[in-house]
Formats: sequence, structure tokens, C-alpha cells
Amino acid sequence: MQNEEEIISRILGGDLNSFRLLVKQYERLVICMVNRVIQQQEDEEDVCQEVFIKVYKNLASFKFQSRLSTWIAQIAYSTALNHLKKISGKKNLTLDISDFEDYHQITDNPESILLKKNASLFIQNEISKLPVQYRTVITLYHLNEMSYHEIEEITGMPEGTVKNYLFRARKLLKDNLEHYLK
Amino acid sequence: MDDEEIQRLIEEQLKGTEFPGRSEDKDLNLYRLLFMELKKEPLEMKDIKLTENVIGKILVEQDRRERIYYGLVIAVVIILVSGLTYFVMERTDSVTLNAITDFLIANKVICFFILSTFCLIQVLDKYLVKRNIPLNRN
Repeated sequence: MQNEEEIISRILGGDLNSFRLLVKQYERLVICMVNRVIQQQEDEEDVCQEVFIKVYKNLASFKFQSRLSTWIAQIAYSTALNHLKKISGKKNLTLDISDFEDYHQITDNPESILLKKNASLFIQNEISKLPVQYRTVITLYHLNEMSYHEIEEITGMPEGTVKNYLFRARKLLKDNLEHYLK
Repeated sequence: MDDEEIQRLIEEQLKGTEFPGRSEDKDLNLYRLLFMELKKEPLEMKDIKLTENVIGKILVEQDRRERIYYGLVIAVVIILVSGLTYFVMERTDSVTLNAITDFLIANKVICFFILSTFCLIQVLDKYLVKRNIPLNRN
């Protein structure tokens, strides 16, 4: 595999085949991030495309101060968050965490009975109910295997907040999982 | 062990690339299951084929920019040629001007042929040659 610097210099020289390789390499990272943040399948593809077009247009400004994956994840996060703000009509999405502390317990409605058949499906469903910041840190840390420092760079949240959100998100999920498995 | 200690313990075990085995502790087992599931991609994730769509959009954008660039170049050339013609006509005596006009009229077919051939080459170059250039432009 070619190194990032070489690929980037080729792309900047107009080589679209190198950009094609870059998209292939990072598409799972972007799709996972966008999926977890916006949770609207119909818009997912458009937002992912927007992310890579931004990457292409701004590649010259990437100065190798972080890993390329961190930089791309940063663009994916801000693009998805802006999309979420646009469709929800909210300017600030940080408020929803304080509203979330009295997280609901599971009720035995038909949907939850169906979910009981599959722990994976249940957990994924519970993740989708978490506030966007929790979903983001969970995805970046567990799925994309980013460090706390990288998550700080991507989201702009201080490292302490990242750790705190990660702890609280996992605890909420564990508590609901416990209730679900009873 | 409280939740914080359990989460830290599992993380440390994971760093050692060893997934913690089952234990008697109920919370530890729940966290163990949770950590395994968190590593999985969202189930409802669409199988998006991004690459070709993104490249297609970039090419459309490049084509649009190229058209704007060509349009601007043509406009600048027309303005410069008009200005230059006016400047030359202003500073040329009527005898020379008449001689040039007579020459152009006498050779109008040749002049028209040269001008139209030049335009045709530009059009063919843009629509036939440049479109067939492979994506690798190095």
C-alpha cells in the first residue's frame, strides 16, 4: 500500500484514480460515522458523497498534523452534524444530553418483544436512541478504534468529556441490556 | 466492582488483544457482551457504492469549471481583439485601411476558411480529444 503522502500528492496533481483508492480506503469510516450521526438512510448517501467532495476540495489544506483518517472523520462529523442541525431545525444539539439523563427503561411493547430475539439488534437499536454526542464517541472509539485524543480532535470535545460520555453511554446501554435480558 | 472499574478492566484486557472470558460477575458479563456488540457495524447500514458517484460528481464539477474558464477566455479574447482593431483603425491612415479592407474582401473565402478551421479544431479538441483523456492526468 502506498503511503498517504504519496497518494495525496498524486491526487493534488490531478490523479483521480488515486482519489478513487482513497475513497475506497475510508468509505466504511465515513459511512459508519454518517449513519450513526444522522440516522436517516435516505440522506446517508448524499451526506457521504458531500464528505468526500469536501475532502477532495480541501486536500491541499491537509498538513499531516494528524492521521488522514482523523482529518476525514473530522469532516464527516461536522458535515453530518450540520445536516442533522438543518433537518432538525436546531442550532445547538448539545442540549439533548441533559434531557437524556432520565433515559427510559424498556417497555414490553410488540417492538421490544421482537427485539428480544436478537441482542445485536437490541443494542444497535438502543444506540440509535442515544444523544448524538454519545453515538459519536461510541462509534469512533469502538468501531473506528480511535484514541481519546483523536476523538477530541474530530469532535472538538475535551478529552475528559469524551471519556465521560463514553462511560455514561456504555452504562446506559448496559443497564438497558440488563433489563432486556431479564 | 463498580461500573467504572469494570469498564476500565475490560478496556485494559482488550488492549492486550485478549477478550475477557465469562465470569461469575453479572455486570462484567453484561459489559463483555456490550463491548463485543459495540465493535459491530450498524445493522441498518446501506451498502453504498460511493466511489463512482463521488468521482462522477467531481468530473461534472471540473467540466463546469472548464466551461466557465473557456467562456471567460473567449469573452476576454473578443474584448481584446475589438479594442485592438479599434486602436489600429484609429491610428491607421485611410489609404492603408482601404488596402487592408480590399485585401480581406478579395480573399474572404480564404479568411473565412482559416477562421472556421481554427474554431473547428478548438471544438473538436474540447469535445473529442479532452473527453477521452484517461482519469490519470499525470
